[in-house]
Amino acid sequence: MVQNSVIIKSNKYGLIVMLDEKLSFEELLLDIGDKFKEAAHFFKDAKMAITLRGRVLTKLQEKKVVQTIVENSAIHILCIVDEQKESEEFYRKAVKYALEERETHDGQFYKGTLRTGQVLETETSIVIIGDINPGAQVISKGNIVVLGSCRGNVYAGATGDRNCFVAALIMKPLQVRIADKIARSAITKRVDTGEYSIDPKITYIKEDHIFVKPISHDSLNDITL
Amino acid sequence: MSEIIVVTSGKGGVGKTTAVANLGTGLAKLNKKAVLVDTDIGLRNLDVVMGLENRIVYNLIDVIEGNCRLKQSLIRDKRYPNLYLLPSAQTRDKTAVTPEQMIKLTEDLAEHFDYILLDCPAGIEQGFKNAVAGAGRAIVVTTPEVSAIRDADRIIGLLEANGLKKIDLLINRLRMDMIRRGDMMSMEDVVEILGINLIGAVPDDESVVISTNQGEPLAGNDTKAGQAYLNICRRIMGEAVPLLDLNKSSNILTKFTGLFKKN
Repeated sequence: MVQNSVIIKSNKYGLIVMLDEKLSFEELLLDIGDKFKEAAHFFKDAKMAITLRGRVLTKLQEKKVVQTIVENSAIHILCIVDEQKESEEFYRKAVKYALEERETHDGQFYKGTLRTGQVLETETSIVIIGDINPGAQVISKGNIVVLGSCRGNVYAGATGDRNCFVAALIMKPLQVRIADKIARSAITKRVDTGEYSIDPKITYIKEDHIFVKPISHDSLNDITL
Repeated sequence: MSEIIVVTSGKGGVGKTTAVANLGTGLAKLNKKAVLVDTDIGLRNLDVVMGLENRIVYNLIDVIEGNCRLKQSLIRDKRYPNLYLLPSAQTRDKTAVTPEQMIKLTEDLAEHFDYILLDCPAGIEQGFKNAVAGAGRAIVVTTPEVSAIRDADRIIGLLEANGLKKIDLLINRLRMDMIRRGDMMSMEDVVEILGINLIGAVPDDESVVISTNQGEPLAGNDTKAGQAYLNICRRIMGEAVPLLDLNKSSNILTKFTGLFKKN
């Protein structure tokens, strides 16, 4: 449907074709063809320079547009005047977006309780607002912080980063792994009754062993991010 | 508005079938129209616990395959006119039914009953999927044992993933003496780990074993377990009922000795 997705302006020097940026390229070509067919008798066999505006096109797409124009009218296109401004704007936006993406991925949040059988894998460090029940697994390339009880399997620094840590308000994991080190929690009482006081602990590698310590100045000094 | 409740657990042997039989009986005693559906195809035992096994003519598979009408398969309990049973088949297995067929069946039943209780088989495969398909809410049964709680946690995760929002917990076989000694997890411990609403706790009671063997559900009678089941039925219906104090035993001898002790 030709609904002003293509607008043709002309001045002394040539044609400016304003293209809709949201339409799909195939539909745009059809519209260009229709518009130029209508305007063909107006332009007859003029020789013109052409500028394409409103949409960033690849070289191949530019070629196709020109071809369509030539097929549907008798215009001789002498050259395409490339307006730098728009491409620049496009590139600037793309770079900015990519950088932003990187920043938002430096820490992720998960809300809710991870139940037996559920596995959470993340590329980045993760903060879990909830519990990790026994039988659940969290695997992260970075650090793991649990604002709740950690009773399952946690694996921080999964790609080998020994500086990663695991912190939790209630630290009673079945297994903790950091990089290539693994530690199990001692099962002292099979029946886990009434031991639910909040006792924040942090687990990290120091001197080649896994340490589990209460969060204090000393233990925080041992950690490097 | 009828409620379709699936009673599940993950672990086998924790008391799902007993719970379904007793909750159905309790609801019928409270004048609600209830139907109990045994979805454990091939290993049926809800009929045995209800004492209705010698009245089975048609079963769930017959209804689904169209060998009979739904009404023909329902067995009406002569003790409670509001209570019906839809038994399972003994000769097929879980692959004989699909979730879509179960959804249609529960929709058909919903037109005639206030409460539909689905007795789910143990496990997480086809049997579980079939039972959960038509349900609007779930009651997860567990005992206060580590292995049962692990499986209950898994089941809750699966139920939440299936979109069931209303999930309640029923803790079965509590032994207060063991809890006092620290040998068994208390109700609070279990709820702490599983993190869902507790709809009731049933104490370990010999009379339950006797009742299932004789096919006479005990909901509503004057044993602790019977009272507990009836309270749970009231909570299912929306009443706020305080939890039974399971610490004291209720036979007449202790009532008298208690009197003397006070003096």
